[in-house]
Amino acid sequence: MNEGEVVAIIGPSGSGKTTLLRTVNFLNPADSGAISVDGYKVDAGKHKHREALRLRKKTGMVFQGYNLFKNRTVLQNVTEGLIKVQKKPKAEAEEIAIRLLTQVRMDEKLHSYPSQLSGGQQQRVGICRALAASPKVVLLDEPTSALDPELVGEILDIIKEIAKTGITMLIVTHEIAFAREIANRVVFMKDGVIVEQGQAKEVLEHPKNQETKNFLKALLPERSIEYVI
Amino acid sequence: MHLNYGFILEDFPVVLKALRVTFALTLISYLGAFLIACLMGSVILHKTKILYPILVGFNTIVKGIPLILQLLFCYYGIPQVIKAISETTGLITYDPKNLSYFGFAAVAFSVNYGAYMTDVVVSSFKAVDHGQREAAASIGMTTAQGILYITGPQALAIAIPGLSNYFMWLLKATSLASITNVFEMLAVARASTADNYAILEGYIVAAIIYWGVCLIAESLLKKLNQLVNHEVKEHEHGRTGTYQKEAWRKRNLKGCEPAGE
Amino acid sequence: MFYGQELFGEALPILIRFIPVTLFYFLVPTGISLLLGAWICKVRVGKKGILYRIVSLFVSFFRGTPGLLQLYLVFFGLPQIAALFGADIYRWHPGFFYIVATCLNFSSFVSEAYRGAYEAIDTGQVEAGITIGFNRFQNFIYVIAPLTLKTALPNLKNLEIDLLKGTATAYVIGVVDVMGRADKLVALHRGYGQLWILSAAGLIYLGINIIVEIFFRQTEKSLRISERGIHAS
Repeated sequence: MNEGEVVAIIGPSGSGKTTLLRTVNFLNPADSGAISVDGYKVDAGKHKHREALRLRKKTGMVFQGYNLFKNRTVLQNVTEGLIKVQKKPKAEAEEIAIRLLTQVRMDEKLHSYPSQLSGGQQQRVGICRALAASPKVVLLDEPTSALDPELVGEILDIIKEIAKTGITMLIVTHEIAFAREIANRVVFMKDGVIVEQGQAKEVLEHPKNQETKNFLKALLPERSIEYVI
Repeated sequence: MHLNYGFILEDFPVVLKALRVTFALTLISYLGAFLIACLMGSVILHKTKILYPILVGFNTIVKGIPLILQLLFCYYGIPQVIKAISETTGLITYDPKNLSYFGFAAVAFSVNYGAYMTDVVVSSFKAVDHGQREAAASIGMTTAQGILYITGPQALAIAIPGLSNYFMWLLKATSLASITNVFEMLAVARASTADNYAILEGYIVAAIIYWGVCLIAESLLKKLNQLVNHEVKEHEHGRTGTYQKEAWRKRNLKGCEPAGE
Repeated sequence: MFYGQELFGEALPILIRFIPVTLFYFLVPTGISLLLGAWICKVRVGKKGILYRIVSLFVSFFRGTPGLLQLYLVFFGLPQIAALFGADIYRWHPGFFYIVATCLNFSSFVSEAYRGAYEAIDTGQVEAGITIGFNRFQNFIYVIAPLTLKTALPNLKNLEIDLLKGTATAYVIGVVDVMGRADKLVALHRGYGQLWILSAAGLIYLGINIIVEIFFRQTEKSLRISERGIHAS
């Protein structure tokens, strides 16, 4: 991926999109090959835990299930990584966190616990947590799949805003119209293999592979009504 | 029933003095058991190659033998171990007149309860949402940091009801140490009646004190649980089961039936 | 420390012959307490009345004091209570006192296990029973009781195993079961080879324990079959 690029991974359930995404920050093990972020390369097949950790410090992840730290407040969730991992002083960490949380309109809930928040609110915090350490790449694993439909839109909007700031993003998503809007490149996967990839407009509007065509045909008709561009 | 009520009153302060021994034994054994549980728990969760089957086997044995047998085992066995060590290496001195029976009992309790509490520790850790560990990893925390700041505290909160339960059991189990020469409450209660044959009265005093202490301890632990687990609501009057709710409604809301099927 | 190994081999056959005694003091309280516990549970679920208050006090006492202490209380106290009615039970077999004390203790815990299970029952099942025409008695036998037992089973299993191990404390009032005989052997040999004699006893308890565990596992399995449906293992 190039800096500032947004790549969307799409495909049917079980196609391995999430697994692929999670190999980037070594949450899932890869058998061979190498992951390289910002010039730092780690051999996937054979590496020390320390190396994977160093790489993780350059990435941020947004989870489908939000995975906010249940025993931390909203503010603490975002500052946790800054203080404990990036070793920033508390004041600086809180400044960064509050700035991010204000941008997603969670500044009123700084001292609430995740159990007191709705899904949409939790995901907003999750996004801030991922962005807090200024990662080189942000990995998003179906960020809206667990949300009630009425909350999906606002999260997608936030992600669009982030994309505009030029951060490199790798998103696994079911929202095809959304992918068409913000992705530079699209990767279509099925049964664990990459079937087709290329420029977003190309793959989504003029797919070359039959499988891709079938997949898109099944999904698009419904969605294009909701997201008229 | 002609009980020696006068003696009962007199005996109270005598037995109460031994309460501190009971507490000391309970607390020390509990700490030991908790430590053992954490150590064994981490081996079991990690499934460390050679240690895992050994520990599982050891746990099965410890859980399958009566506690009183283990107490006697330590009572007879540990002095011999000390003797053997002092004879071969001279690191410790073996003084048969000054044996720490309290210590032997504490060891027995720690090992026995440690085995049981291991299950609580292991299941609590497993009950923590997996996503928590992944989120910790995603921001670059080491495994140790993840456990220390995120998974550990959550597992502890989940474990509190189970661990409290074992505390209560241990508090009562210390009475078994009276058999092995430890002067905790039950032993003192029995000894205090040595010259007046008011054996039953002595035990009644002990019973009242144990009962009181247990009631207090139980309510304190319940408060602790509510403090840590904010979502825990009072189950005292059992209206939480659906069957009970329905039954209560039927009994109490006759005539105010809401329109429904 | 390692002297006296031969006592292990000597003790084992002697102690094995006392297994039936241990089993007796395990099974009799079990049988009585499972029923007594059910009655106590019924009273406790009622939640009002004098009987409720007396029984609750009683349950609180037996759960809040050590078992050994209760054993002594019954052993020394019951004869005095009986004396009030003119009966002389001072010289009765110690096993009697052990069984009384254990039943009182154990049924308190059993009743709590039942109570927890009972209060967690799903209304739907009970209503289904009523819709097919069961009266309250039938509903109890065919719906409520089985459900309660099934939910309470894990707790009951742990309680039972504790009961089994608890029989070992009976020797302090003179009951001669496996532990009692082992204690006599230890005294007989005046401190020689105690560990080996105790190990023999331990091995026997371990053996009985494993059998009881297997029994419970089988029971759990056969109850699970009703949940699995077509894919019953």
